[in-house]
Amino acid sequence: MDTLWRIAARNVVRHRKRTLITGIVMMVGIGLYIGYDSILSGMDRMAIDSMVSYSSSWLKARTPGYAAESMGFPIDEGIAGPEAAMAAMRKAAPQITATAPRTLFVAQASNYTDAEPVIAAAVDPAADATVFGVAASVGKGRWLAGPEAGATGAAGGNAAPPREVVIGAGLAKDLGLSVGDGLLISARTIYENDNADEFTIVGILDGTAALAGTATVYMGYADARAFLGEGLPVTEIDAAAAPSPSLEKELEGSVQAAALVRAALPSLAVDPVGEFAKDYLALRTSKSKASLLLIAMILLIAAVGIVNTILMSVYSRIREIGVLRAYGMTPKDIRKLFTREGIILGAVGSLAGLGFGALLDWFLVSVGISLSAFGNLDFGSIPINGVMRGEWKPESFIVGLIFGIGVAWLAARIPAKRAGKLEPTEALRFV
Amino acid sequence: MSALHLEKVSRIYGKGDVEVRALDGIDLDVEPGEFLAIVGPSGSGKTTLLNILGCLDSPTTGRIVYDGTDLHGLDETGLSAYRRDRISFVFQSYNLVQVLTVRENVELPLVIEARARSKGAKKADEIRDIALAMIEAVGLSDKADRFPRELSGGQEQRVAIARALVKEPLVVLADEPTANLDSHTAGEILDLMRGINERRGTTFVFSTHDRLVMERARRIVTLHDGRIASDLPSPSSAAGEADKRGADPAGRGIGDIASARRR
Repeated sequence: MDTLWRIAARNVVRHRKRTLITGIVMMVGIGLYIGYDSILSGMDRMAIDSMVSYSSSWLKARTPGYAAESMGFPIDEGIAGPEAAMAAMRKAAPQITATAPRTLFVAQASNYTDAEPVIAAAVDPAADATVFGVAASVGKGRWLAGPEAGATGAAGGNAAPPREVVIGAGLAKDLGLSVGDGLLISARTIYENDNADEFTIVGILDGTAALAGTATVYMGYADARAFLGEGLPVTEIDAAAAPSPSLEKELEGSVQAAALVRAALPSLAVDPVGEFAKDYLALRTSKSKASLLLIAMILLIAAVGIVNTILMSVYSRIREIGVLRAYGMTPKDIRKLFTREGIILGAVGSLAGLGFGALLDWFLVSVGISLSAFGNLDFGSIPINGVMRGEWKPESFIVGLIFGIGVAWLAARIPAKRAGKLEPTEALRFV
Repeated sequence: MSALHLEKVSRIYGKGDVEVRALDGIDLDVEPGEFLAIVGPSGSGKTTLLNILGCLDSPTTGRIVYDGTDLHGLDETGLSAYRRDRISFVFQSYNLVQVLTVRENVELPLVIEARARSKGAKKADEIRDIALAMIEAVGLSDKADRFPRELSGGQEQRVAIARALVKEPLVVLADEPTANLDSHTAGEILDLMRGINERRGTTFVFSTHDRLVMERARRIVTLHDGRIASDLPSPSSAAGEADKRGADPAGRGIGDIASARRR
């Protein structure tokens, strides 16, 4: 090893206490940054997964007319031949594992005393469960069932079995309803007249789905057609894909699949999940800026520690500097000696930080933080709840290491410059 | 040719009312192989003279010529290079690098030299062999891998001497080298240096108050208020032969190492 490195390394080891204190500051700083970045990433994943599971799905196909007025939920903008379209989508994009039809409409839900505006969804109960997580989120009662399963084109049964709905927990609470109660729903039919009918609540969703989903009332297509008109069309087709290892891959895969489906079904407007998560993804950029600000602040504290540590090192070795200068070392060599000490200190602290960060990440990824104690949180209209987990982000380890060593190097230059400026005669006289 | 030639050298600190004339028109010639002591009361300019001889400080006026090279006008880099190549130091408090072993301390001047040269630099193995031979010559072979804190004061000063000699300097400048040693150890150290001086012809210049140093010096220059008050052969220099008999046996090998390196 080069002598300057050797002297620097041994001085770092020799002054254990100073090294330990500075190292711990760096370790905690970089470790926290890695953990914070991991949880931010996990939060993003959770939020987008929520959208995929409860509202936007991984990929959505609608008519261009519907897409243009989607906030008005126009039920006259139906997809022609939805079964064939779904088959074509699966064929065009092999990443698609399942498809399901949905028709969203605006309605009023009432307990005969109070009423609330709601968005209702006509679904194919069996297919919907393969694409969305709503069916799996029924907290009380059960998901929609019955003979109408899969009836996307035909009418329901002969007799009139009790019409069923599954509603969100918030609506149930607001109207004071529970499973088995009747719910009066009124809405505009495909014939442009208003209709009202009583449905039996068979299931109430848990908080997750209620918050996450666009709709708060779900009913089978058969019941919906009996209610709004037999010609009620499918207004959107939602598709699911196998889970991706990372959020980036998930978003990217969705964009690629959308392009394939668009090519196969040019008459439809096809949007990837990223299109619906625009606001959230914009928020995410500002979050990552905030995390960089965090590391900058933490490293600033570490930098002050490093400046102090190296400065102490310079003052405790002034005579040594004098000797090295007397033996022909140039001011540049002296500066190098102390910047190397800073780099070693930075490397030790950063590596410890990576270790601490890895430990935090391991905890966040495998155990996670339970958010149930905080209730349901809403981040930019995307709900975060349940257990929040982190994600492994190799790039945050690289950033942590580079920032740590870089800041240490920069910080060490201040005292190193001072050491280089010392006159050998003054240094040798120093007691 | 003189190893060292000083001509009307003055060193003035401060200006106007606070002006201090540390050296005032010093003329001095030091011949190769001299064993010279600079003595004088505190504040007489001994350390300033030694700093100027060691190129650690520059004279305000006057010339300094080393081995035929006029150092006038050399900048800090030039002076650093001159120190690195031609001058060595032995300090009162040894000033070994605490985090380096005995061997690494002795290697240091050669490493600094090698770092500065892109061509013809000594290889690590060569540096190690030279350092080990020098450590052997000062009688510390068994301590080569020890750190300075594990050595006695006398042993540390031996290491400092090995470090000073390892690069075969033109001149060794020793600032009160025995001040921190008991008289027995001081005598041993001085005998070691005297032995080296006689066998290798290395020039030694001491700044000292120590009677033991003055006894062993061949020439004594006395400073007073920055001027040379006297420049005389040491009274004891006639008894040089007797001194040689008392020299540390460890010093005997150094001439052999030096000649082996020159070959």
